[in-house]
Amino acid sequence: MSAEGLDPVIHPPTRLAICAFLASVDEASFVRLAEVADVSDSVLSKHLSALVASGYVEPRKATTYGRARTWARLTPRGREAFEGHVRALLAMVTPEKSSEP
Amino acid sequence: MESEQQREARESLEVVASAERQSRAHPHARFAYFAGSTVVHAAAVVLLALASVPLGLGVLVLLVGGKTLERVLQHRTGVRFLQGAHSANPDLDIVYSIVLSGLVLGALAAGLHGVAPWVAVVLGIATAASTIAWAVLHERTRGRLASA
Repeated sequence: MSAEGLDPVIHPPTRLAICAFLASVDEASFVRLAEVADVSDSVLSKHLSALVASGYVEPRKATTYGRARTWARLTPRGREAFEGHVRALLAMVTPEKSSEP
Repeated sequence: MESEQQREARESLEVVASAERQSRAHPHARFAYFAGSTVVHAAAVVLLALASVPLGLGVLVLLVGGKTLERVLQHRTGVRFLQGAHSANPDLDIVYSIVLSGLVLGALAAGLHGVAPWVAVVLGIATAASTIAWAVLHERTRGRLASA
């Protein structure tokens, strides 16, 4: 699939699911994201690393009740890229208005 | 007839909608956060207005109670909705800050200047109602993309 506005970093379904979930909350735990994307920890880690490397996601380590947890949030740049990607997808499925009578 | 590109785009949008639906599977957490923290804050105002606790203790209840509730909800749901300044949802921060500031000022006014208890009670109820109503509105607004 190729179309203007689509972001190749976000496009894989797992990353798209991660970004969509993070766009709806302020921050989500690694465990919760693995559930949402329905992938193993190692697969999630790989995709998150790609999003972090692109500056779309910001990770944070925190200890809660004695347990270390990784949290992730969408950066402003990531949010902008995700919204642009969704707009491009919507444009692709929305039939163009014809100028013909 | 739908092209291959359109089919793939539609499938991608379904992935987006599914993830957004899952984020909304926790509206109870968001609701509980607002309702719970607002009750804690409102209780602090009422207690202070009734002069049943010292001002310092009331403010402590307000801060520790709200923060504890936030941490428990974060731990249980794996989702965080509020994170103060630089949040991805600035509107959420603004409303929360206004409500919190209003309650702190209300508590100070009640504790220091002897505002009538019923005024503090009305303030607490009005604050809770407006905060929860806003939270519900916020949820509905977020649903627009998923249903597109």
